[in-house]
Amino acid sequence: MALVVKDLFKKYGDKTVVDHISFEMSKPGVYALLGTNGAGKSTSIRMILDMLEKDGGEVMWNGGPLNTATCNVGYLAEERGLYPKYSLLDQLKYFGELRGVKGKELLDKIEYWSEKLGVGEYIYPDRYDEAGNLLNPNAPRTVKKKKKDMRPDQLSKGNQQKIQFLIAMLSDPELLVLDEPFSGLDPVNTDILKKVVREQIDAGKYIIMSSHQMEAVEEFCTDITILHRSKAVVNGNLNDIKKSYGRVNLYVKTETDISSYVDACGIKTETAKDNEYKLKVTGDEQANALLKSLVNNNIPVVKFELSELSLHEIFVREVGDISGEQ
Amino acid sequence: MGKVFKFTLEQCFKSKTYRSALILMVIFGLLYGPLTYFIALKSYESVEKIMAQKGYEGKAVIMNYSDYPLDEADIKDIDIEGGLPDFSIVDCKGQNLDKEALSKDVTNDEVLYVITSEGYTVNIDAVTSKDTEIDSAGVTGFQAVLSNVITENLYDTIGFNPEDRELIQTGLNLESTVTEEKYDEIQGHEISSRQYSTLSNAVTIIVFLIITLSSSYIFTSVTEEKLSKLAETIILSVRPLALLTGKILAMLLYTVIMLGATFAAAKVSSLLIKFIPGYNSELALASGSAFNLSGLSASGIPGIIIFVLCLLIAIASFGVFAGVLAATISKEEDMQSGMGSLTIVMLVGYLVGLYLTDSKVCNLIGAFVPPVSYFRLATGYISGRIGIVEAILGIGIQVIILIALCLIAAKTYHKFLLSGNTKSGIKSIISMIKEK
Repeated sequence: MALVVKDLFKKYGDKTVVDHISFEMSKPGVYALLGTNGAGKSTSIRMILDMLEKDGGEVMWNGGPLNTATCNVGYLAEERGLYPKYSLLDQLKYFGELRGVKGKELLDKIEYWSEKLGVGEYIYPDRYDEAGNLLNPNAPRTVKKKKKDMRPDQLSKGNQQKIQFLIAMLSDPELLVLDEPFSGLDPVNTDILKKVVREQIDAGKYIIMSSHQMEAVEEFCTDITILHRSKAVVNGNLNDIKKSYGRVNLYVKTETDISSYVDACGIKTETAKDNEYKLKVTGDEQANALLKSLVNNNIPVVKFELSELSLHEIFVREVGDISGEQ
Repeated sequence: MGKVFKFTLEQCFKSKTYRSALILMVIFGLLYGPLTYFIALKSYESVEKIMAQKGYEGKAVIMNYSDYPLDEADIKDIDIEGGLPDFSIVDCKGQNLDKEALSKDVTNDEVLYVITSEGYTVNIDAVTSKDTEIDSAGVTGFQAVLSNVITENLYDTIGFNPEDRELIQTGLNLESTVTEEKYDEIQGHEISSRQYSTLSNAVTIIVFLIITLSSSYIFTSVTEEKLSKLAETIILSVRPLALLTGKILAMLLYTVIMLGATFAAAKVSSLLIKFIPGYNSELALASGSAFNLSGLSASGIPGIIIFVLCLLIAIASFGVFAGVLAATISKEEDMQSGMGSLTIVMLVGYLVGLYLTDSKVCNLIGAFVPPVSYFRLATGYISGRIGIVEAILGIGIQVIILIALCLIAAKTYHKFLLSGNTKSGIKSIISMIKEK
């Protein structure tokens, strides 16, 4: 087992903020740590990364306790964490050196990642013109600068996010912890970052991702834990969890109105617009009954798709149910 | 910690504010001595002009209301630049003085000199008409003549011999007396009370500037790291206390460089002004323009060591305090109150240190009571106001406080850095310390 988190526990005064959380990552991939606001995600992440003292439990990496000595960790925090007034390049060098990367190797990595993430014009402004076009890729790094170094307070949130991601990648980490990696990014930059995440998965990295963007999480993660009020309410392989809820989402597109057939089968309609129907069925049987009914009545069916609950729906169902009970 | 130290120091020298502060201090060191010297020289020349004996063409009516005699014979043979005016003396001893009435009849070609006395103090007023033809240098010049003559007559009346007169003329203050105890006390002083006052004020101001500069950098830096959540990224790679220590060490080095550069500039400046034609070394010393803080070396190497040690402990102590205070800040709105607590402690030390008098009790307060001792202990030892034992004890107290601050930081800093606690400032620190 590469990463084992067992019975993680944290209390502040009388308030339990993380209540015996456990999960494992036996192979490279993405593990999603999800939860409502204040559920204990950030506290859990901090304990996993040994930034915060645990009141109970253990975090093991390759059989030994996880800390910066035993595991090369890259961390992308949720908030924009950069010195607003210091030069970008200075900060990148600083953080790289803090992670044990020095000299030419550090400069090479900064250059590699800046080009990959599309932030080269902010780190090496001398190499680019005003429109952001690359002028001279071979300009020496320490050339006497005509343009001032850029600072984080001159960048958009999305670009700051990419710079932080760059910092997380400088030491070529084995374990990557990404807290809201896609927040603040436009679709183009989201795709860039997703591509990088896929590459990291292919490279055999272990990634823990925390996000409220369920579509993004579903795209990458194999296993999930959903936290609610300090407890894990859902835990395990995402596909297995989805299967446990059964296939209940039915999407039907026809050329005529089929509301009467839907009602006759006792199926709940979620949305119906322009002969496109999103329905909730109890299972395959009910869906088959509707299909049979439509076929028997010669209703032309354009599309008929039965699928599992989305992660978003599972999340809302689990957290919503519990909130309702309370 | 080394990387934090290196980065902090680099950013300090890249920061316009801190570069400017360094340059300003060097300019201050370069200019202070010459400026003070030239100001003193100007005043000295003005005083010399005023005190210069000089005559004029015109009349002088001298009304002597004082208790001391003044005859024509005392003045008529005095040879002065411009020549004596045509003078007459009126003996008005015992009569009532009506200045207003006297002033009405003064003509344009005459000056009325009214001499009065109270005890041993003699006053000479010169009254001229609104459209007087007599220049002011002549008026004050003849006034100086009368002053010297009447003073001599005063001494004759009292019965002072020539040696006594010389003593008085070199500045003996008859009203200043000391007890034998005080006399014994001041025998041990390395520098005079006046030099001590100058030195301790200068050192107090310098220490205050340095502590303010270094503590405010640390406070701002830590607050920035906490509010921007940068702390989370950094403490993955470096322990929080190592982060704070790196910053403090960087600020220590920055201030040592700044001080060194300032003193070097002052030393260069004090050497260079000696080449000014007519340089007056006594005047330079008297005006305090010899800003090489030569008094610092009055007690030799131990004095310099104590000075440097006190300064470093002060920077470290205020640095730790600033760091822990800053870590309690969760919102930008709380920054002012956090900084306020820090400023209050500094100001108490600074103001009390500045206004402490040169007495035994005050010197002991300056040695033992923080935060005042950060500003006054070193000069107390250097000037001989306190001995080596008191100095070591005072430093011991400062070290104990520094250790206590470090222990508080060890217990609270990491927790504050990661928490979004709602309370800020000293109350928050006290609550955290009380927690198990």
